Amino acid sequence: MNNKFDALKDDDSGDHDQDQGSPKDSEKEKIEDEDKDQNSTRKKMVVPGAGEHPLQYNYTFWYSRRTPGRPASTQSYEQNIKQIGSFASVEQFWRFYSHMIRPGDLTGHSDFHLFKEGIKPMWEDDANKMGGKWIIRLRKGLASRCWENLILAMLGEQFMVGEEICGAVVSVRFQEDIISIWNKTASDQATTARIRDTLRRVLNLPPNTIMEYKTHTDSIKYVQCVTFRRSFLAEIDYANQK
Amino acid sequence: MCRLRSTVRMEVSRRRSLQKHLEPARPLRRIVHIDSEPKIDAATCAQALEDHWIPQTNIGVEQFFKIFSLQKPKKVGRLCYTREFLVGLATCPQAMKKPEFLPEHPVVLTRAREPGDLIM
Repeated sequence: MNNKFDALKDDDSGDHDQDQGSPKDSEKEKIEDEDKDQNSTRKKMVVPGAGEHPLQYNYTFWYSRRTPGRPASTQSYEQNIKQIGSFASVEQFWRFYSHMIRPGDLTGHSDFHLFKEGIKPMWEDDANKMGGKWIIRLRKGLASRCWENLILAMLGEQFMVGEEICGAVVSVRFQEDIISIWNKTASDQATTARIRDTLRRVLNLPPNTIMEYKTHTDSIKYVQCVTFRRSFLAEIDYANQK
Repeated sequence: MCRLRSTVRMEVSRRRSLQKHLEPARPLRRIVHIDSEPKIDAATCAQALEDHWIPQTNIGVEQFFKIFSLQKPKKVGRLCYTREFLVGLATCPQAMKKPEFLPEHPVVLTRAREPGDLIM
């Protein structure tokens, strides 16, 4: 590790940084209110249109971005993540996908999430809390193609692991991009092995590509550790400035 | 006055209904003579039923559901699509329409990307 920031960079793997501390109570209420509003405007569950090709599950596109320059403590992951829309058929998927920027054309610290309808792209969601994810780090320029291959395999039920898949994330970062696929049961080795093999096949990755499996509980622990380190480093900085 | 009228009406209607019920009853036609005693009582009847019981049709609740579930159409398999099939549908007219609910957002486009620019 060359400097202290390498440690902080390490877990930028395709999901939220919970290192912003819990939002104030008033903010929490606001989030809940927003949720209610979203639910009331989307009472109607999406269904495939006439003559369309239904998917095994409904899915929802999400987008999140860390606003640069704002102090971390005032923003929460849940406030930053926005629903783009839900779909139930192949045709409806393309309608959304063709109206969205490709991940490779995104700038800054941002993520696209595609999760089964009803599962929030958060560790805390009931479907995710016992789960984990496969992570693949990509050099710049590969994100769009890999993301497309990943989500098409997911929508087309190519993983053959029953109900296990929760969703997929593509994370655009400064020097690399990361794609990941989340499943429900991190302890189910037969499932995680099958997901890994399918990933290798559908992404057409070179054999030396490093694939890493990470349980969400580990991710939470790591972030708690980093949060501690960050506040510690901030204190040192503050002390040095004095 | 009002009350009186209503009582009068009630009397009238009661009389009518009585008239209806006073039609002559039809004589009962019985095939079996009432005075003949039944030859079997409840116990012998139950015995007779048991004697006729065919073992194969003795179906318990569990067995019934087992048979019932066999009759039901088998669960439809997973909806699997290959990459090629999905990509093939990307340019059909239904897939090019603008979604009904599309939020205004920097990553959301107002017009669909060109078909050639849809997928890498």
